Amino acid sequence: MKIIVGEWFRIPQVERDIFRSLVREARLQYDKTRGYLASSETDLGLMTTILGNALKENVVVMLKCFICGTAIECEECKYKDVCRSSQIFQSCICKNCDTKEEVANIYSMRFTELIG
Amino acid sequence: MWVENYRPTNPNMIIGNEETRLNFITWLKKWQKKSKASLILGPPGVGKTTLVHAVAKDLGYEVLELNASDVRTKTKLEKRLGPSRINSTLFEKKILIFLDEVDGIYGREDKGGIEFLLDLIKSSRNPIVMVANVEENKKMIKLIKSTQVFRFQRIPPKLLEMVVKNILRREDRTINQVKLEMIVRDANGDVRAAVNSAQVASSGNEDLISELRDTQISPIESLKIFFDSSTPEGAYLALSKCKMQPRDKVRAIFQSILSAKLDGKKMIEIMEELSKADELVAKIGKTQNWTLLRYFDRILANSLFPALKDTQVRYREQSLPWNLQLRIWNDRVPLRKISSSLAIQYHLSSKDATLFYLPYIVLLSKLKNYEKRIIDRLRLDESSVKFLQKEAKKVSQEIRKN
Repeated sequence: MKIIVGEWFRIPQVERDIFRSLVREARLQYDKTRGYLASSETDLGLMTTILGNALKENVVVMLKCFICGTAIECEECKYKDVCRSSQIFQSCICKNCDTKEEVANIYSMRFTELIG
Repeated sequence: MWVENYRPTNPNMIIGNEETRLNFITWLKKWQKKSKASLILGPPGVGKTTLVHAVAKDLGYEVLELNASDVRTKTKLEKRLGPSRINSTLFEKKILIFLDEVDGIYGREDKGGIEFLLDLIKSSRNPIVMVANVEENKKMIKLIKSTQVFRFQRIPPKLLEMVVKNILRREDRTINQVKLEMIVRDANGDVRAAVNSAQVASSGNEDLISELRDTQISPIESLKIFFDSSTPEGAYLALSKCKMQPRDKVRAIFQSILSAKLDGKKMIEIMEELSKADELVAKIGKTQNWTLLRYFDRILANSLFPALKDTQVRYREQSLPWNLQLRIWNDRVPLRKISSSLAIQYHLSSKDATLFYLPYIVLLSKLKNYEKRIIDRLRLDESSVKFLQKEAKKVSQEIRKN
C-alpha cells in the first residue's frame, strides 16, 4: 500500500483500537467522507507499523515533490538512512527536478506562487 | 562567512517547512489587535529567525528584537518592552516584537519573566513573535497554550544538498560528491551547519569538518530517532549523539516500553534486554570504572534493537498507556457517581467507598436478584448501571479464567 503525505487515502475498516491508535498516537487525520490524511504532524514510523500489522501488507510512504508535485518514493533516495520517519518533512524534491541546473531558483519561484 | 552572505532576505528564499512558512506569513498578514501572538518552535538552523526578519521586511514591519536569554527578568523585560504596549508605530512604521530564544527565559533566576510575557501577549498592540528551540520544557506549555504555534522541522537532506550546491556554484567552488553527501548527512537538517561545513571543505581544511561534524541532539530527539531507527548502527548513533546520563536513557526507554501496547512475552523480552544495559550502569557505579561507559550506548542499542524490531514502541513522556488513560477518562464519571452514592448510603468517605466497598458491590451485582436491588438502593443512572455491568462482566471473566 502506498501513502502519499498530504493526500487523503482510504483503508478497509479497522478495529476500534487500531483506529484510535492511528488517529491519537500516529496523529493521522480522519474524515468520514475523505478517509485518512498523513500530514506534517503525523508520526509516519508509527503509522506504518500500525497499518502494516493491521492490514498485513507492506506500507510505503511517499512525499510530494515541492516543485512538480510528483510522488517520490523515499526508498529510492540516497539519503533515506538519515531522513527521520517519526516527523516527516512537509515535502522534498524529486530526482527529475533535482537535476535541473536552476533548481534552487525554481524552488523559490514555486514558493512565491503559493504566497500569491 | 557564507552563512551571512547567503542568508535569505526574502521568505521565498528560505528552504523547507513550506506549509508552516505559508501559515506564518498568512498569520502576520491577517494580524489584528487582539489576535494571538505566535510561537515558532523548531531545532536550530532551520530558518526560524531568518523567516521572522524576512517576512517582517516584506510586510513593512520594523522589528523590535530582544534575545530572551539575555533579558530574562520581569524588570528588564518591562523596561525594554513596556513602551510597546502604548505605541503601535515607530517613526510611522508598524512594529513587530520579536523575542528570540524564549526557552532560555525559564529558570529560578527569571523572576516573573514568563508572567510578564503572558501579560504582554494579552495587552500588546503589536504582533509578537517568539522563537524557541525546545518545547520539552514544561513551563513552555503556558506559552504554547496562549499563542499560535508554528512547528518547524529539520530540513530534508535533498534540500540541504540543493542549497549547498547553489552556493558552491555561485562561489565558483567545488566539492566532490562523496564529501558533499557526507556534509549533508552530518548536518542533520541544519542549514547553517551544512553551509559552514561546505565552506570549510571547499577551502581544503579537512580537520575542521570533523570538528563541525560532532553535532549534539536533544534527549527527546535522540530517543525518537532511536525508536525509529531501521539499523542497530542508526540506533547507536542516535544514543551517542545525546549527552544524557546513561541512567536517564534507561529510564526514558523503560517508560516508553511500559506505555507501548505489547503482549506479555514481548514485553519480557524487551525488558530483559534493557536490563543488560541497566546492569552495566549499576556495575559502573559500584566499581567506579567509568571507562566502561564508552560501551554503554553500544550495548543499549545492540541488545534492544532486535527485540524492538516490528514493535510499536515509540518515545513517550507519559507513563500511562493510551488505552488506560482513555479508560480512566471514560470511567471516572460513573465511578465517582457510584462511589458518592455508596458513601452517602453507608456513611463512608468516597475514597473508602471506592477502594473497599465498590469491588464487593461489583461482585454482588452478578448474583441473582442483586443487580436490581443495588441499582434501586444506590439510585444509579443509566451510565452508572452500564459501568457496573461492564465491570461485573470483566470480573466474572477473570474469575472464570483463573
